[in-house]
Amino acid sequence: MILLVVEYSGGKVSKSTYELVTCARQLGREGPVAALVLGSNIAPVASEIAGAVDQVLVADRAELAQFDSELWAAAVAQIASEGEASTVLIGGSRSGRDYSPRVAVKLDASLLEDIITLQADGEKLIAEHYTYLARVTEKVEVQGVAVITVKPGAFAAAVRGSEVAEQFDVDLDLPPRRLQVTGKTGEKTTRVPLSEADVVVAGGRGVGSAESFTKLVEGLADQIGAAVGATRAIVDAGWRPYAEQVGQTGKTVAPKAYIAIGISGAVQHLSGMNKSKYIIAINKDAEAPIFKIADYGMVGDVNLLVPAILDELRK
Amino acid sequence: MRVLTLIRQVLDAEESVRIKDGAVDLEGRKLVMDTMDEYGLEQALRIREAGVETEVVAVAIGPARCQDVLRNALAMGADRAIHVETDAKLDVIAVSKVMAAIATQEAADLIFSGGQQADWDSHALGAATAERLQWPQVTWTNALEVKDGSLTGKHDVDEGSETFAMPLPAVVTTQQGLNEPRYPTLPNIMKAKKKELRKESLAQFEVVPKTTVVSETVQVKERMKKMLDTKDAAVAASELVKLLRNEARVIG
Amino acid sequence: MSTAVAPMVAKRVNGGSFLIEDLTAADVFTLEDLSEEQKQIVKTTADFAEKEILTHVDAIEAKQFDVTKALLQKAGDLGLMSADVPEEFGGLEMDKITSALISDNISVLGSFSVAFSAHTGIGMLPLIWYGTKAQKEKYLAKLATGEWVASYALSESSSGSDAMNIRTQAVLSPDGRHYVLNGEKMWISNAGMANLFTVFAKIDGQKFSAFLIEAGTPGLTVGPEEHKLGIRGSSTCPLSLSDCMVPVENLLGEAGNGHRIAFNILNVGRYKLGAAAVGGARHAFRNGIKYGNDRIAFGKAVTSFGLIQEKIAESATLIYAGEALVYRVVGAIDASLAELDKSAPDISLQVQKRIEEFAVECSIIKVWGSEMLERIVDHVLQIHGGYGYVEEFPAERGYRDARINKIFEGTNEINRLITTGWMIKRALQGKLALLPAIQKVMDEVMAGPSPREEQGGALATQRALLANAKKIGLFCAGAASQKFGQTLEEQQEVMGALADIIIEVLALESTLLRTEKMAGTKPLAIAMAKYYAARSFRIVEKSAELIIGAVAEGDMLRTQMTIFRRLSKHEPENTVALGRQIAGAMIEAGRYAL
Repeated sequence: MILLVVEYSGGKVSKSTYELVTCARQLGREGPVAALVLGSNIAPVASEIAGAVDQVLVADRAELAQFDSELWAAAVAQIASEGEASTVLIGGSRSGRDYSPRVAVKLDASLLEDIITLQADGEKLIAEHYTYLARVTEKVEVQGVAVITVKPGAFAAAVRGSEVAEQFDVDLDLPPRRLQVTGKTGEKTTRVPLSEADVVVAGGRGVGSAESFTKLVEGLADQIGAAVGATRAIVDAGWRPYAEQVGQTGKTVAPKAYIAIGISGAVQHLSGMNKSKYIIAINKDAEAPIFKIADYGMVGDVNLLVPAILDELRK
Repeated sequence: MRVLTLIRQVLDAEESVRIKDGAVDLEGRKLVMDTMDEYGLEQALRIREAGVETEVVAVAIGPARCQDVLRNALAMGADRAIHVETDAKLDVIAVSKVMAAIATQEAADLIFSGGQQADWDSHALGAATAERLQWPQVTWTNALEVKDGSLTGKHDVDEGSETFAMPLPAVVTTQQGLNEPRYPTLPNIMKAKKKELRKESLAQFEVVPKTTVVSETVQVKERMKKMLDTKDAAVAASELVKLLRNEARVIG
Repeated sequence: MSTAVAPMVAKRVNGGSFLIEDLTAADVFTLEDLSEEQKQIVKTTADFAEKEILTHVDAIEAKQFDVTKALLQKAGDLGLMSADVPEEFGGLEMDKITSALISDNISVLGSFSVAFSAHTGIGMLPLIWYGTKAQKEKYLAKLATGEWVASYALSESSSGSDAMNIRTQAVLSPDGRHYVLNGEKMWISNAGMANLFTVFAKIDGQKFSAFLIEAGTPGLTVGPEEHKLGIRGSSTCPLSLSDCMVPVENLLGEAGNGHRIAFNILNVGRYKLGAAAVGGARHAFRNGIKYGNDRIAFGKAVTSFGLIQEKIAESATLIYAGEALVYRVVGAIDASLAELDKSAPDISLQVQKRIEEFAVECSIIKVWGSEMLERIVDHVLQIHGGYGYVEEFPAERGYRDARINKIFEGTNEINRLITTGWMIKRALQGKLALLPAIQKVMDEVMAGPSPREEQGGALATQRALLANAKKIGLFCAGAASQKFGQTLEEQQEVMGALADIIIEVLALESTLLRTEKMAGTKPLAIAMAKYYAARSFRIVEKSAELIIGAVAEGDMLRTQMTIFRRLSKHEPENTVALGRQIAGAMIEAGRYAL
């Protein structure tokens, strides 16, 4: 069995889960592809994913209403071990990266993190992931059971078919929750999440001010339905929330197009976006390192160029 | 209480990456303590300075050169250091076994480990160590306080951030914003000379790495570097929009 | 006498002896000998420079002295200003290598370096060396922590290099409780932000003396900031003393002893300037390489062009040689100071005497270091092309900032005269066996060609060049003193050319010794040693020709040129290939890296 853990948000299966399905189908290990849904009131999620996998395992329990590393790890390890899963696929989200190592230890399995390719070769699994601030591609191999987190966007999302998989309720032995959540701050955004967006419009210091950011970067993002990104410098300066930070200490994105406005391109920022398919750079400094990795570059005042682009789009 | 802080030695982010014989070549390069580990060490020192009686022990697992970063840690203020010296390339799961064993030997109450590091972006070591010790963990931590034997703080989650409370013992992985690490002062550098730096051999921990690194390559994606003439903003804008529509096909 | 941050490595040698004695690699200190603690101190200093100074460049350059003062205080908190302060007064009392390492690694911005060294060097050293216990207790801790800033006021509008000619007067007040000072001071570094001034004046127009004057003392007025070519973020103002009442207990040292204070600290100032020049050069070089690697011309990075690589190779080599020169000399000073009994009552005086032994080396470091930096900032600017000439890039500022180094701490002209003059004086006093050495070279060359001594090793050719450079120096000194006798000191051009040979001998020897110490483990170091030797020997040849041309004519000229040619005969190295090898490694590293 290839077990994958379903990620969802607002009652809908996340794009990253469909990417796990693709990964599971192409990797070349035998057995059915089973999806595990953990949570409370998750029937719609289970039904949705049933259209894309071979089996759906559902643990609908009140105590799973909120994510917890230890609970999730216990649940996934139990199901994987009962189902003799050869491979456990988990989304490379913060929570996925948080509990997957526990699952690997519990199963005495290997752990592969944030992989971008995955292929079975007999008993072996060969995977690639980025290291050194996304400047190096490392190829690794493991034997036997493996717990794997998959980098969002690395695989195409699977499409639901006409067949609907059977759903099974599962019993779990869950440990007590030790980390108590005492408050939550949401990443308030009406836009597409950064990690799922096809296009990201991001701004840096060269944008000039928090007000210009709203006008130029958010303006352009909303015009084309893109997510908004920011550099560490302006997050540190308080112009933008941390949730929008792209780079070593923020999020890593690989959209189809990354439009960098007033971003010079420090190596720490590049590590978070240099795998984007197309990079578009707009900056007044012709010498900025961002132009070295840009597909399209515009040297000039962002206050003139971005409004001109907006005008053109509105035509 | 006793706090272990894991210290890793990594390539300075400003250094270019060089590959030799299919692996990243660190010979003769500028190697530094990982910033994320600095956050952990700094937080441990702050706990001590806030009045909780604390011994801070810096731990490194790696080749002989790692003692340089342990000396940095001692100079920053760690009370002593443990160096498990090995040239073996260990994966995170293997290292967690060593960390957990040391934590047990040392009767530690709290472990700090860096996340999102300069060579390998991962909070996994903290989580795997916690699992081996059967301790709770908190990852992506950007605020932390120790009070009456438990931890409170703030960390990032999938959608936003949470404040939390957690009992000790526990593992904490760090994140930007947790604190601003100090520089070692000259008097502390001189004091560090007399602090204990204990060497341990890896053999006693009986670790068998499960992951083999086959190769490391630097891939440079060829970029078109098409520079648009921006003399006339409107013309340039129209050209860019055409490219985005017809070549990149990202807008309708 | 001080807390050794590292075990003593260098052999105890006498100042000036390098011209007539040969050392082996084991006898000198090099950066490869740093202790763990010294490496840590380098890191703390470099991190402070990178993360604190470089992030406040605009404010510093805009003369926002509160920013500079806050940074000085931060440096003080880290202990960076306590290296030369005795433990008794809360200092760290470290060896001079460590203190030079701080000067070196903190130097990423001229303005801040000048403020820092004016404070820790000429600002604090007179107090450390000459202050009474009460004076030190009152002021030293405040200065070492950076709570207070120190300033040193010697120069006047009509006395710069000729410091003894000051006009500022001090007169004891009738009640005997104050000295009343009157006069004007010029070019006073840190004046605009200082809390304590060391002011020189002549008591009753006779006794050259130093006084500690607190800012705010009635009668002491700080004038407007000078508008300078460079180091614009540093403070330089005139001072005016008008019936300024200084308590008698603030007389520093003994009345009439001011010349000692004024001159002895110069040696320290000079070797620290050399260390700072090396640090400044390393930083400028990094900017140059970084820009050159990013800048595309004709479809390639400009660093890929031969004539740019030539600049990179020369710059890197000069930094390598500068490190070798500075740390070899400071290491020798430490070795000498290590012999002293720290608890001796006159320890300060003994320290100064020991350092004074190395006056010629200190002058050499000052001249060589400032000119090395000037050369490199020029190369870095040139690599930037037009962008080097505008304020947007640090290359422009670095170019302007470097210039002052040839002027202060004794102009390079004064220091060249000191170099040759000091050697001659020592020789005449019989303290340096220069005359027998000259005689030996004269006899040797008159006897005709002798078979070459064969030496082994990767640097055998360079070793031979060095030996011949020493002989050329001695030969030229002999020829010049034969011609001019007692009046040689009046022949400044010849004195200067002799100084250039002496300077190159020390720099080249230091470079070769450092490289030999690495015992062939670093091909890049060998390449730089060869590159430097070729460059150095060209300077020796040029200087020798100037001297010979000035001292001989006719048959004598022809004879001397024959001798000179014999001594200078060598086959050129392929400096083009060496240069590309050196530049290639630096371009790849993106900075100066061994």
